[in-house]
Formats: sequence, C-alpha cells, structure tokens
Amino acid sequence: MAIFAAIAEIEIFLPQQTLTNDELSKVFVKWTPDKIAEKTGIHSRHIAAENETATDLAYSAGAKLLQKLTSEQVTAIDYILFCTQSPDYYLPTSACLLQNRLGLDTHVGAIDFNQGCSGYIYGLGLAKGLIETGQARSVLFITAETYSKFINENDGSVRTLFGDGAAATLIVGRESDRPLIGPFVYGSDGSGSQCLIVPNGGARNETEENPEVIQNDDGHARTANNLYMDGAAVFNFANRVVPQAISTILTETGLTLDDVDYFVFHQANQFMLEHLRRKLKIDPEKFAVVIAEYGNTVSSTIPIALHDLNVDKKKLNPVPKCFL
Amino acid sequence: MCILVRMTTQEFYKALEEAMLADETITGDENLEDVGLWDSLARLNFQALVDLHFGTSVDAVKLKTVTKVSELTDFVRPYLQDSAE
Repeated sequence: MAIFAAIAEIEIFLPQQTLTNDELSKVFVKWTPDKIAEKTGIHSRHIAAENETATDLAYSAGAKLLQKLTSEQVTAIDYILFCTQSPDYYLPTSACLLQNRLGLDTHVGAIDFNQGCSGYIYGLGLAKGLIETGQARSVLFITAETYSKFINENDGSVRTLFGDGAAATLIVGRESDRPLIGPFVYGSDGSGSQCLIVPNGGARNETEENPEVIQNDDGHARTANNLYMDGAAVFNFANRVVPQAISTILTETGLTLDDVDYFVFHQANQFMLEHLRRKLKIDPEKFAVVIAEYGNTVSSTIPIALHDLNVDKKKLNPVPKCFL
Repeated sequence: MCILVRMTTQEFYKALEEAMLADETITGDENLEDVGLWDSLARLNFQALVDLHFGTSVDAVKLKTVTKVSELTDFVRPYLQDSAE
C-alpha cells in the first residue's frame, strides 16, 4: 500500500461583524433585500474589522483546527500552505508569520500562494504533491480573504456578493490502495486579467491617495484602488470553462455524473451555481449551495461548504465521492 | 452540454419577461429601462437564458451597450424558429 494525501480535518473562522441585505438595500435603493437574496442566494456576509487582516482570520481558523488535534497530530505538521490575495506585507511571507503565531516548530516549511476562487483546488494539489513525493507528512493548508477591504462601499455589484472568511484544512498521508484526492484539472487564461482585478496597490500601480471615482451605467462607483469585476465576462468564462473541466475529469476517471455522490463547487453566487447545475443536469439533492450566511469568501468557499455539510448536516459522513 | 430548444420570437419575449422580472408584456419595440430594471443582474439573467435555450454565449462588451429589446433579440435572431433569415 502506498501513501496518499487525504483531508483529515477542516475548521473555519468568520469575522464577527456582518453585512445584511437590509443594510445593503439602504445604500442600493433599487434593490430590495428580497431581490438581493433572490439573485445572489446571500442573506448576510461576514466582514473583517478595520484592523483585522486575512492573516488574522487565517490564524484564528488555524488555531481552532489545532485545538481539535492531538499533540501528536500537531507535532506531525511539517508544512504550512497559505492561500491569500491579501497578505499582511509584501514581505515577509504570511505563512511564516502563521508558523510563529500558531506555535508550530521551526522545522515546518511555510509558503504563501496567491490565488482567488481556484485557491482551494490549487492548495489541495500542492499538498498532495508534497505528501505523495515524501516532502511532507502533514500539511496545514489555510485559505483566508478580506475582499471587503478592496470593495468600494458604493459598488453594489461586488459588495452584495463577497464576504470575508478563512478555513484551515489538515491534509495528511494515509495508506491506501488508491488515490484519495484527485485527479486535478488546471487551467489559466491571463487574457481575462482586466475582468477581475484590483488595479492599484501592487508594484505596477501604487495606491492613489485621491483616486478618480469611476461610475458605471448601473450607478455603481469604484476607484482604481478597488476591486472591479466584469460580471458578464466572468459568467461567460465560467460557463465555458467549468463544463469543460468537469468533462475532462469524468473522462480521466471513467466516471459519470451519476457516479458522483456530491458536488461542492466554488460558491460564487446562487445564480451562477444554479445555472451550472441546470446546464449539467445535476440533481439538486447532490449539489451544495452553502452561501446564504457567508457570501463568496473566495478561496474559502469550498472548505466552508465542506465543513458545514459535514459538521452541521452530516451529508458528507461517511465521506462520499465528492466533486470539487 | 446545453439544452437546445427551438423558440419562437413570442416565446423568447415571454422568457425575457421572466428573466427581467418585467411588469409589462414585451412586444419587441420597448426600451429596456421601460420594461424593468436593466442592470448587471438582469444582464446575467439574459446571458443564462441565451446559454440554456440557445447553447451560445453573448458578447459581454456588446451586451453593456444594449438599450432596446430589439437589440437583445438580435443576439438570438439566428436561433429563433420563426425568424426571417
């Protein structure tokens, strides 16, 4: 029997402050709370406090997870992967800060990687590679995001969708006669970079002190310091790429959609999820929509959904064949 | 992977009414702002309608410039059952 990577535990952390549809409809008066809920599937989002960073959320999720583990399991952790697009600093690496704050030994490897919605899949792939090549025995993989800090308060097109949050996943090596995670399908299309972007604040364009306010035809306002999302372009991209990726994985594994016990896709918004579900003809009973109280938490939506489905609803216990 | 159903123009208008949560019956000549709220969410609804019923995508840049129902109809005209080619 060989050693294969497997998810052992998931824990999540959400900031205390929330933003409800009632509050949003007071800013975006054309949208009633019911309309926001109907279109997005979201009733409330958690928002980080002013002095609370993604690394803080990551620390809290990691600490909650470590509390669930035995001392042997904690000692066995020898790698931290941290996925965020909101690091504390250009340098040092936020994963190194987490190693210290979580009290993990200095023999632990630690690295950040910058991914958005696909971050959880990338992290699982990286952890699997580390474990199955013998580079690590036990990987603490944390995702955390605070998009609220990028969002202009007058841009309803994104403020209604995104929430802040973090998730910590323990991935360990287990003896098995077959892989326990995978196969994976990856893809990139940098030509769409302007469709989902925070233009300022990196090395290319520094943050402006008095940026020009850009107002779109729907009345939403933002500046180049803020998050911009071209929803129509993102819809077309997801609608083209997701079914292709699913088809590729099914072909590689020889499975059909009916062979899959549960589908847990990135929880972008209910509209996109429902469209994909209808298009792929997936049974709603087998399709996770866990977004109402969280919104789109970017790289944390999948582990938050897995955590909720497992802990609260027992839908993933015993562990079925899950399509992420 | 798509649901391909040949639609008449009238059926398309009916589907459009649902997608836009329109208060009035659409006849084809209206300005979109007179039919209902034509915003980012309505545009997504239209994209989804076109994808599910016609198995094609809508040019996202062009969609932002649209102001009339007839311009939306132009996107799907080749797929309508009763459309004059």
